[in-house]
Amino acid sequence: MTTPPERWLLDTNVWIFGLRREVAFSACAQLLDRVGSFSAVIPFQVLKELNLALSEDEIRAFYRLTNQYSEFIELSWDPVPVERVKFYEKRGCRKGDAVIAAHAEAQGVTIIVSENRQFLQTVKDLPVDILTAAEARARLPQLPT
Amino acid sequence: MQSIDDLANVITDLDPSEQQALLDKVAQLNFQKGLHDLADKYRARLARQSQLNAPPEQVWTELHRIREQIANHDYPA
Repeated sequence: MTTPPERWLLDTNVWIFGLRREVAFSACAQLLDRVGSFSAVIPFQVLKELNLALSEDEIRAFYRLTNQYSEFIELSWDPVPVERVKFYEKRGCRKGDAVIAAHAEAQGVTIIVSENRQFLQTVKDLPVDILTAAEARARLPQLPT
Repeated sequence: MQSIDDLANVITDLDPSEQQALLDKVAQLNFQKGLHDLADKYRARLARQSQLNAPPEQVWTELHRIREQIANHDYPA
């Protein structure tokens, strides 16, 4: 019997910097290369952001991929209760980041991977761990050389 | 290069757990290939639009703008 992979919510910036292969955030691309070693959860807010950041053709390719490999990527189309957004806002998150934290809670995800420094520094003493892409990658088993 | 039949014979000689691990690995590699193809497509479009080498700060500004725009629309104060 195999242990199911951990479910991590990947923030939009990880997807965008990873797909751009941005040198300043190279851990994002390296982490995307390991999807499958963990299960990537994509909540509604991130889906909407990707819809705006990617072209129609690119987002179609993205959805094709996520539909074909649903064992690696979990899409959630559910909105989150406004009270939970307010809960995280009261703890110092900007509204958009509060929505992401509320999504993680609603999905039962305890790890958010994000390069958003403000998010990383704001959310403390909450039931969600926020890791950078490099920190998240370090949790994964080393690949054989 | 081995034929498909030869490969299938090699695979059927594996333990069921090894077969499953192999299938999982193939799926993961196919997924990664798809993601790389998407990254190539995205980067090509950004290059055409002279946006590929935009400084990360500019990308951050746009990501923050998009985030707050959607959140304010979906969860008005």
